[in-house]
Amino acid sequence: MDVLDVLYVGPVLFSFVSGLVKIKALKTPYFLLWILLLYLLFEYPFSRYLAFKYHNNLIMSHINTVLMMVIYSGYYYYELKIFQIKKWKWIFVISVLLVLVSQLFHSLFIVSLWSFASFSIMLECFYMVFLAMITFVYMLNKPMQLSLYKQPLFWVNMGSFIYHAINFFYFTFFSSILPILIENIENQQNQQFNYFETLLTISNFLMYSFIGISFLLHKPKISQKNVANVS
Amino acid sequence: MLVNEQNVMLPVIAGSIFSVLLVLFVIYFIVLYRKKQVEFEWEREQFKQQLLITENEIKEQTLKNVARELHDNLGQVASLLKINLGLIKFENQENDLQKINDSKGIVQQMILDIKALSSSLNGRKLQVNGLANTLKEDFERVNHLGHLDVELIGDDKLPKLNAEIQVFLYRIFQEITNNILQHSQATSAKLIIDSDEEFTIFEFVDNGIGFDASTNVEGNGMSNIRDRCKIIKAELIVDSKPDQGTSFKIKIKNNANREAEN
Repeated sequence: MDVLDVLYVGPVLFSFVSGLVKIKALKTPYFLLWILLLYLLFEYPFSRYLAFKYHNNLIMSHINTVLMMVIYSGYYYYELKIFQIKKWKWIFVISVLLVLVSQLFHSLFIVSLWSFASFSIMLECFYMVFLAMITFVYMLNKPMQLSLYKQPLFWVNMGSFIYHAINFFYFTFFSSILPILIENIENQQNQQFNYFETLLTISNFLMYSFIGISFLLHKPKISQKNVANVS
Repeated sequence: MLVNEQNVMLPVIAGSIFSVLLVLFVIYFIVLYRKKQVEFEWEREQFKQQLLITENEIKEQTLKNVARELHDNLGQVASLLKINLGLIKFENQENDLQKINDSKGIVQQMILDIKALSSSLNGRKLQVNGLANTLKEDFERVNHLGHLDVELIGDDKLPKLNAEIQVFLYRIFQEITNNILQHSQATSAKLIIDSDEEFTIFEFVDNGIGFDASTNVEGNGMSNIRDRCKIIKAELIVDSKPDQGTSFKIKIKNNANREAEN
């Protein structure tokens, strides 16, 4: 396990534990994110095992991207009140289904499951950047008295935006980056590859750390029993 | 195989520019959000001040209505009762009994009117009864005076509204009712409520003399209605032509409730 791996697993573990501590206070969208973290904690060693056993763990990129798409769509669906309006709800559901069907179709029929899911990831990233932008506009239209840094939505959305924007950029330039990747495999000392890997790791680090921060900002729910005791 | 240096540098430069842009975007968003928060705070303060003013105006208007009703209705009924009782001469027992029975009926009606009047003085009637029921009671009282027939249609379509929004809307409708009573010479008016998932539309129409809506001359009542609609972020459309009645259409977003709560 090198530094980049620690920078990936560390925030995931931190956020998972933060979620576990606040599990009773978590609202549905945040519980969905916690489920994602739980999955990632199991996925990481399993993915390593696949790489060790079969020298190819790219099938996980197909599964991960579809799961991320489902969980993040669910998160935005519950967090943005605009999606409770019938018209927007249907537009949202249909667009999410379209992206998911495209991803599955591409993974199952166009490319091999043992090749990298770059198209699915690009599609997911594009859609999530779009949703993050909508969320920024939504937040600006409905500012709250609460400090921005105390709003879980801000942290999750910012993390999602940075992560998906960087990933989208990375896969847009994938064809240009690919020769660098290949050269790096041949020549371990090439620094350009590390530049992009570092960029991706930073985006991972920020997204998962921000999810953890959003969990910690949750206040315990006040039960009816407690309310009665107080009154 | 050595990768062409220019090919290597292009994505690296693009990546760096992209990262800087991302950071700038984050900073820009935070600054913009804080600015919006300050604006929102200021709007909220204005909203609270206007709410207090509106609540006071509702109280004033209610007292005026009570005074008018005491004079126009209860005063007249009491006079009628006095005349009726004065006609009892204790000469014709059957006739006297009839007069006493009539007086009992008048007293019964007075009791009902006083009850209705006292309920209108309840400062929390809007919160307790809700907008639709309060408007219904008010319209019944207006109808009772006999100058105008006002009807509330579609009150079952009214979504649950925030208490503060209800205060503003109630005052707007009170103001429109007053305008109709004082200036329109209308004999009938209707407040039609319609709502879908996103918006609620209130349309107050009368069959009065109307006015030329294209002229920019506005009275106090009209500018108050316009200001209040602005405060609750409602759209106001006034449509009127001479001798063709007047229509006030107020369109409000259903989630204005949540905005007011924030």
